[in-house]
Amino acid sequence: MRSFLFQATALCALGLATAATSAHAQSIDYGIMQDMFGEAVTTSANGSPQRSSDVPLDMTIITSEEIARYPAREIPDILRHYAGISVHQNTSSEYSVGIRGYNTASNERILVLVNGRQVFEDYFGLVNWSAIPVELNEIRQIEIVRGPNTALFGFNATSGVVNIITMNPLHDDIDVLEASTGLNGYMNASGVYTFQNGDDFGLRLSAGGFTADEDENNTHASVTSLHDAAHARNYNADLSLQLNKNTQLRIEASHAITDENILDPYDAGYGRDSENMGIRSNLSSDTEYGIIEANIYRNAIEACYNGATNDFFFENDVFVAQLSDTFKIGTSHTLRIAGEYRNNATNHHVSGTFLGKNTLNIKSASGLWYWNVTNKLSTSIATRYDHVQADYDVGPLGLFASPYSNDDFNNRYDEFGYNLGAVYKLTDIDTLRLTASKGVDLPSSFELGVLGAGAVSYYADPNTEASNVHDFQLGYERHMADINGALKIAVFYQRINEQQGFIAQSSTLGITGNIGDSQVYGLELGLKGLTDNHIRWGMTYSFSTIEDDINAGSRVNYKDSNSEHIVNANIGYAPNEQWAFDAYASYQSQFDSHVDTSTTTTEAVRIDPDLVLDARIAYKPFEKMTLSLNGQALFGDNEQSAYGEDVDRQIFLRAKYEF
Amino acid sequence: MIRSIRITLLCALSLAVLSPAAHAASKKDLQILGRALGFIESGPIDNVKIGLVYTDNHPRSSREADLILAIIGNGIQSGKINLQAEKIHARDAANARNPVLFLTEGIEEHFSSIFSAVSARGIITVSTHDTCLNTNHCVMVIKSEPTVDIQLSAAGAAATSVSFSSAFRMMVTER
Repeated sequence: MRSFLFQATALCALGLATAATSAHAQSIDYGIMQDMFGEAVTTSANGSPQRSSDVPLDMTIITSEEIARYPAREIPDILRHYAGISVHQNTSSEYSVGIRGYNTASNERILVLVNGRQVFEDYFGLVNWSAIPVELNEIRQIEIVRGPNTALFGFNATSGVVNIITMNPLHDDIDVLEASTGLNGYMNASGVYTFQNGDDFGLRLSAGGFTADEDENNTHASVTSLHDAAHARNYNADLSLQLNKNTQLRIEASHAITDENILDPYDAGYGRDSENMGIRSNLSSDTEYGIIEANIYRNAIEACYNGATNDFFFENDVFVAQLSDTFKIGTSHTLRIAGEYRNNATNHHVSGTFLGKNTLNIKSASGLWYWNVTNKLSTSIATRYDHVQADYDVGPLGLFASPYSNDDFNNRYDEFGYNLGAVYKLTDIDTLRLTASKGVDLPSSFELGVLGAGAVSYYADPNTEASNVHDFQLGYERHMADINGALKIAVFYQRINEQQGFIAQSSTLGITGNIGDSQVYGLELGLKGLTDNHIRWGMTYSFSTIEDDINAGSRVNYKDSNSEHIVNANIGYAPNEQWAFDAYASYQSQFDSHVDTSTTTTEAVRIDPDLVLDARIAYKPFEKMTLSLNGQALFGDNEQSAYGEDVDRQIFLRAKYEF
Repeated sequence: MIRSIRITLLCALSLAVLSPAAHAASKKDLQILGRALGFIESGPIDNVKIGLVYTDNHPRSSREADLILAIIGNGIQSGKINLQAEKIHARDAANARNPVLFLTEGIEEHFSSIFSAVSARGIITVSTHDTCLNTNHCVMVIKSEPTVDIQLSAAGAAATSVSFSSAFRMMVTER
């Protein structure tokens, strides 16, 4: 971590040096844009700001006002209430989140970003939600993008993207202290402080943490390395400087420490200790050549998985440099050209033994053309080409049972992805949206080398191909003034070629590689409104069904692991400035979860249909203070994965002071 | 009987024509206008007194100017801009000193003369009526219903030597 600090300092210096030589750039003030257009605004779809209704993607934006009304402890507690999203809470604080099916343990098919910096962890291909260094009170919006979007967001955005946008300290003065306490040992403290000096300087500091008891009743209770309680501590600093009228520099640095029980991507239970550090420097300049943006970030992760037979330890280091120019030609055409360099290195250790090091060097070029064809029709074409050089340096103990040589693991991947979108406004209030896309899912670092050794050996098939995901969607939206709301309908079809996974060879040997193909189709319905009596309501229904063509010996069955029906409903009432009542119900139909019965095999366990009710009552005794009583899983304890830790009914009190 | 029906229909038609214009500016329109002005490079800041250009020859024109004047009252704060307003007769608009002129409905015959007189001085012409933009005599047209719609005239902006931030241009409709 010492070298990380050194390099982080260098990164900041580089950002400042770059800024000093830049001519111009204007930041996007999401608050002003949202206020002006009466709807959320995003820059995610094509690098330029767009109204959510104009975006040529299936995107839902959860605003800060909506986030504040959820009885949420972590971000997945919010995501579960949106169409197409499946959330399995595996332990007291660890979640698997899926978009449109394929919600396997530690799901590797969604990409999670914070202000464009990935918090997806490449070594295992998962998201440690507890280590996302963002307090709920400092989030401007959460963007959910459904479908493969690697041409826009990069690798692993194959099921979808969760893009978390935080407040910009230059524009948003957020000062909050918050504390919570509740059942099952839950305690949480969080603070956000913003310092602004004139219009040119903004600094936001935040810190937070929680502790929550793990449920003792779990399938892996015999694993002594499991934790009795989950803990997390997060720290984040966000500096934003307006260097001149058109130029802004933003530097973010974060540190997170977590220890909790988790379910790994291969359905095994572990006690995980993780330390995550990240730094990002972003320079944006509005020049006569368009909006030029330079983005550099680095993630350093040390994660230890303490399990029944093996302890895995990963040191993962990711460096990313991105440069883009977004410009408008004439009155109708917006173009973006971008390049990216990425270095991703992972050291693998098992039970104290160094196994080897994966290195991925990726060079990418991408382009986007957004065309406002007429007042009613707009189209978008985005493409991305990635050249990937994967190298493996085997450790001193050799390749164990693998029949391959070290050189076999040195591979090249040349991958092409695209996103096509068309938005047609039938009337002022009716919109049709048609999209087609191809996404790319690279094997995780774990799937590109020797994975384990000893009594049980694992290795990767070095000929593993990247998965390709093809997706087609048709969406319809209607703004409904009579209910002060909107109707949204989407149908989709998605095909995954060369899915990656784990194949048991014997009771003591397993390999990872391509396991076959799969496809999913479905529909999503959503309706929401707001009455004159300040009653806010909404409901969604999602249907998806999967057909597998998976090789024998694979441990997965995507079809049976999918909840085909997901229903959400919410109602909220805020009669005045003092009181707010909100309730959120979520139903998932039955699905099969898996538990590893030996080190190479799993057994399907049927999880019954599950109805979860969350609710919140909030009262403001005075303007700056909010007291709330929050409940999760109020219908009682339930099981959301085969891991066996029940999701306990959770009730907690929260005090929030804004100053 | 037939005559009375005709008279009734005629009255109804007249009322429909003379009723408040479908796109008469609302408070929301004016708040959006204030926000949008903030995206002009080196544009007006702080207290911005817009001139409401009207004519006596068209009842809707004067009515719209009065309506906006009443809405704005002592001022509307929109972002960092405090919008204020005053009425200016169309015949006097060419000599107006306001940084922004709002062209009301019904003064179409004056569009050309007003725009040619004020655009060279960098005065920004705005409206809530499409006609103004269709003829390139407005830099910007704003509507807030049923959804927010902001349209820019590239020719109008160029003639006025006005440029908007790239981000703003990418979010609105340019013609």
